[in-house]
Amino acid sequence: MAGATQTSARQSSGPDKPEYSRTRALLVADCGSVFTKVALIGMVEDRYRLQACVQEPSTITTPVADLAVGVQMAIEQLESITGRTLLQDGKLIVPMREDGAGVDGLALATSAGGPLRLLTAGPGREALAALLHRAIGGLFVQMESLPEPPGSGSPQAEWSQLDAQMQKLAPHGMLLLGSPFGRGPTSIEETGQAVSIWLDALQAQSHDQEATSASAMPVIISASSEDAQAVTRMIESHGATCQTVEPLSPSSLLPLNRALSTLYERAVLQPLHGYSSLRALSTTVPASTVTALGGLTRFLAHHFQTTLVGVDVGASSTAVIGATPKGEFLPAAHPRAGVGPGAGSIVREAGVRNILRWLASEVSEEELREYSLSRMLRPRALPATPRELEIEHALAREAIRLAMQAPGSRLSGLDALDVVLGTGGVLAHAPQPAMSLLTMLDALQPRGITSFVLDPAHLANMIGGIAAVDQQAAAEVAESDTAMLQLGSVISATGSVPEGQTAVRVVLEFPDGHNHVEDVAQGSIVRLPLRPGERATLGLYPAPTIDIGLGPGHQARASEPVEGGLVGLVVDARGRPIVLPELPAAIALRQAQWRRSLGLEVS
Amino acid sequence: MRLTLDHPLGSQLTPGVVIQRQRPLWAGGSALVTLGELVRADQVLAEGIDTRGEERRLIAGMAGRITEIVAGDHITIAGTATVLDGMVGAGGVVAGPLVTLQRGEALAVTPIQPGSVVLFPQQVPLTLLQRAVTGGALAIVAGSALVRELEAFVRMDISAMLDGNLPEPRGLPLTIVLTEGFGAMAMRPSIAHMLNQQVGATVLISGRTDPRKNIRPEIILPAHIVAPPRPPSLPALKEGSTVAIMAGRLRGREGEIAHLYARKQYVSPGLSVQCASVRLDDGTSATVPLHALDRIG
Repeated sequence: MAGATQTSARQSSGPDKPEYSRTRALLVADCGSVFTKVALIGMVEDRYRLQACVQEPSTITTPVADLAVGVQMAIEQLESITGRTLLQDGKLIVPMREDGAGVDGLALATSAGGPLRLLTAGPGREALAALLHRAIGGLFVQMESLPEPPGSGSPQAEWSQLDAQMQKLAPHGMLLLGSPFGRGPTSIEETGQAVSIWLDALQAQSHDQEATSASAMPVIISASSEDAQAVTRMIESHGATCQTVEPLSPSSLLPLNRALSTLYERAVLQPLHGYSSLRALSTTVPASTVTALGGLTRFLAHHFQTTLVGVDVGASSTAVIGATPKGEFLPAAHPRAGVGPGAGSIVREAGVRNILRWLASEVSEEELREYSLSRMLRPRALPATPRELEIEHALAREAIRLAMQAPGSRLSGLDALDVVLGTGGVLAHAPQPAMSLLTMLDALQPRGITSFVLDPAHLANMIGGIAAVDQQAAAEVAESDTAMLQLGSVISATGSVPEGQTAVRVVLEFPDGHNHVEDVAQGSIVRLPLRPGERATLGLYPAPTIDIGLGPGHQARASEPVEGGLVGLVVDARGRPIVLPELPAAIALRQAQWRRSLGLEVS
Repeated sequence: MRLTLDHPLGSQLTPGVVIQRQRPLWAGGSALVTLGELVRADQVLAEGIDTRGEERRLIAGMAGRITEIVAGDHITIAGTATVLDGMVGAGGVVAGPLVTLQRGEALAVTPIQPGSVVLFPQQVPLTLLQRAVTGGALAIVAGSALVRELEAFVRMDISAMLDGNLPEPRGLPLTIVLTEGFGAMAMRPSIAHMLNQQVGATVLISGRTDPRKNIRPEIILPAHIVAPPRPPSLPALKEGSTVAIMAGRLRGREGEIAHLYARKQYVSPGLSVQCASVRLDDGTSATVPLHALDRIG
């Protein structure tokens, strides 16, 4: 798509305000590293609804190497599904015409270019780590520490190894953090010297690779003006373009966040072929999918006054983003852990044993590693057997856990989770909703009562994009049943009684007068029948040492009826953290029991 | 018509394509060719003493015209060739004659022609990789390998290598290209047959693999190969397309698309995905997800 076809009707707020002042139809696109999802949102009986959603392969790499081609293919498929004209001569019709053709805009989120790879250095790097993570929260950034250059007497092999590592990392920029305590043991001058050496090395590499050696390395300096000037003088002549932002402090996180957002668009998105044509059509500044999910999570937490965690397990990266009604924002992401090209990172970082513990059948390390490598080599392939599907979901569990443990993550502080929203291909494509629920439950291991919601159409990141354009549209689409599937509520009982004894008695009182009573044994997980649309009053009677979110032994009888979901009402008495047997055969047996309890088939 | 952009982007084999490749020159290597000269695939481009004091010769590996000579750095050749993409590989760019192993010999002692590219259309065992090195082979093209055996050979975590976290193995004594991937898989019959027809020809082979950038290992073969016509640049799956099945219980089979389903179908393990009905080479038919198909003709 070279651009948009402009039609006469335009939105404006002046006296010549057209008939349509609100968004009537909107395309939202999520360009992932493997798949591109495009959805058409439109007005149906005065409410915004998802009208159609399609998925096509992303066209970021050769032989196509044009991001816009995948989006165009998806739009063409939308046209064939909906019978609606969206393109004219290959160009998106913007705004929507009187005859219903076209849309009023496009909102774009993407992770196709990968994260912003950033090298950090400076005397404030350790001291300001917590603030730094808060400042970059919600951005798609992979931070690595700038290594100390080897001394002049170091062997050539040491240099070569570090040089090769740096070349592989191919950083987009550097971030230098001044000391928050004035002059410390490491001065900004020492940082300047180290950065200069690396800048020279990186310049030499770009000459070797016949890259655009003229493109200088962007360096963002968050330091006092004195330190910033000193280090700028030292490094500018070594091929750096310096930008100074306010020193990091609890009240000045935004300038660095903005500088990095700008750098992300400039260094990661703009070089993508086809990005400029999509950018020209986009109603808002395109965001990374992590940022878009963060936007949605915050928006929903505020809109529904709830504590919410959004979980996005992608092919290359995984994000777990929390938000509270008080406005707390708790993002966590692993930029290289996913179930496609990111599968290798999960195996390396989580370890084979931690992945295998989630399987209900015995799988060898060789089989797991072979499967994860196959997923890296063929990222668009989907599991072909129940066994592969199980491995895929085991990888997803560990991807979520890795994201939650990412540096700077504060999600462990979120004890009471009201809502968990799952998105991403592995969760959305699960053949049974209980499989997605169990994957998220095992990975997050929440306490108390949590409602699980699934985004089967991969809309979450896109709705984050819509929220930036039209908040009402975002809320209405998020509320619609076609966009978000209610999987069900989970009551997580913590504490312990001897294995097999009753941990909690659950009483469901249905409006027709009949009751369902279930004694849930310690170490088990059960599913109670409460289907979508059904309501029942819930009574919980835990053992004295068991906590269902109100304190040990505290009983609860809900004043409002709880609503059912696709899975039903789940009571998880497996403890926190979930304890598994030692032997692989016993683990598999236990996992198989838990799956059967939720109605899942065991391969 | 549906697009498939999965590796190998619709076709593992691209005949008659114009390509340009750089051959590395070492300090002390003297070019024996001149700019604009037409060279054969088996022609020596340069010779001289390398940094270890050993005599070296640089073979072109592909026929074409010399378009660039940078002393001490590289020589560039441009020409028409047939490119066969592998699924995964390791090692640098080498050139040599394609050879097969003698039948009936134990792999651990089988004779190896020094300077050759060994064709082994099965799962390659570690024993053979080691034998190929001791026998002086430059490269091996095989169907597949076990992960642990390949890692034992390259002495590197393959997933970290594919992720780009580790520098490519330097000084790897053997370039490896696997056409099917990991596990126990033989080379697809059509590919194995085509390569067998090229035994004796000088080929240029690279093991470099970076799936995030869709860089695959490659074997550059002479241009005159008779092969199925090249699929369009955006390889589309349509009725009549010849396809190879890359996953599931029919992995490794080839066939022809008889019908493309308009709606998603449920396939093992319960996924709802776009599918095609494929008429297999034995005359039977199967419903196969599109993501498991590679177009090969």
